[in-house]
Amino acid sequence: MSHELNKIIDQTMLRPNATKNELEQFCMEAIQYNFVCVALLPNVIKEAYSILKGTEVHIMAAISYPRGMVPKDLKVKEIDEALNDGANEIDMVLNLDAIKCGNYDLIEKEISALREATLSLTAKAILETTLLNDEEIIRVCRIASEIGIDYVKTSTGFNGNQATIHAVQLMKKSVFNKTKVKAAGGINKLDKVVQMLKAGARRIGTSAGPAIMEEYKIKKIDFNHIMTD
Amino acid sequence: MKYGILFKNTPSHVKKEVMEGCSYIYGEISAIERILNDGFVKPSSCIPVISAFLGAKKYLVKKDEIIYAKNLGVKTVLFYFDAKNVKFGYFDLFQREINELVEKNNEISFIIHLPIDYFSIEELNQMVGFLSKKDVSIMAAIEDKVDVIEKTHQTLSYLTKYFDTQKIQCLFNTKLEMIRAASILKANHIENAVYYA
Repeated sequence: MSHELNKIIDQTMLRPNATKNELEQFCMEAIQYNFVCVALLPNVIKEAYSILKGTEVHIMAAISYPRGMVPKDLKVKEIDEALNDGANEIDMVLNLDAIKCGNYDLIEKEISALREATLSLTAKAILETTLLNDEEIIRVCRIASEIGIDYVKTSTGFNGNQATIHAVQLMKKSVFNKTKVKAAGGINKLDKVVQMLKAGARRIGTSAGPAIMEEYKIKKIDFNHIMTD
Repeated sequence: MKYGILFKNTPSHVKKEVMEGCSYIYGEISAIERILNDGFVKPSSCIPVISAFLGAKKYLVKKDEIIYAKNLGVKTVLFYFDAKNVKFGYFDLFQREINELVEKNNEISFIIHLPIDYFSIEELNQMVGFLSKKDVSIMAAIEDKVDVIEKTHQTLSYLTKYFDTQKIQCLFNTKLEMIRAASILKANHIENAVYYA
């Protein structure tokens, strides 16, 4: 299987103060580079859809972003609204406090609700690994895999929370079935992308997609030997 | 002056004595629900945050968060409005969001989070002029690592032209920044300040 860098990048803009022009430019760049996905806040999905419909670029809505501490049913409502507006991928922040309190029943219910609400669309569960210990990360990754979530995601990128190689490796070891790892947060150079892919990530969330693609054109890195799965 | 904390991460990341030592605790609704269930805080000291920290949810979703928050027995909520409406030039939608919020929930008080740095002075004048005619309080986010005292001074000089001082709160990134700005808050008769904990 041949791997193209643009097809693993979720080009991301999660700033609530972006202007209409900035959103339009962002979407046009996503079309130009043919990224797999744009990652956006739920309130701009409709506008993004009007630009991206008919293209290959998926639209991802960041649900319950950035801390995830709202009840499950409200998260589902937010997902439904985003899907109605044109989203076709969902990244949902899990209830971090529930994880810290060891309330894994709640986490299981949240992830199940995410799976049910998104049906066959790509669904990702966000852990915010910098706020969790290894045991908590392993436990959530296993629950997500059992439920059949497509990706577990390292971080929101909010407040400087970043993906680490350790977290990606740990998540990669902990997932099974079809669940993969998405690394996000602080990935703004090609060498960081390569590090994350080597650690086991199979999607990259970044707000620097175009710059990374330009670097990639010059360096011409072959990803096929890194991504053997 | 009374001070509160706003959970930057989760209640699990804040020591119990810090929560017990402040006048108000602000957090997302599930965070507030959890600490209320744990029983060491009273509903009167808890202020759920609607659409924290970005305001970027559709109003339909925020509305359900407000209903949920009311059922927790609280009297006040902190509301993050949708900055997109202003940045995209949809000022009528900004007005509609605030009008619906205030007119359909008259049994509770609202504090509107105001991220000053998101907006141009023209946008701020339009928004603050509108908000000053509503029965709401304002929480001004003070974001300045270089000179928090000067930033607080500038912000309060501006906001006090529109609002009574009792209706203004300031939100700081850290407790230290709040303490550094305390003399400015006192000089401006600001009674409530909050920091991320």
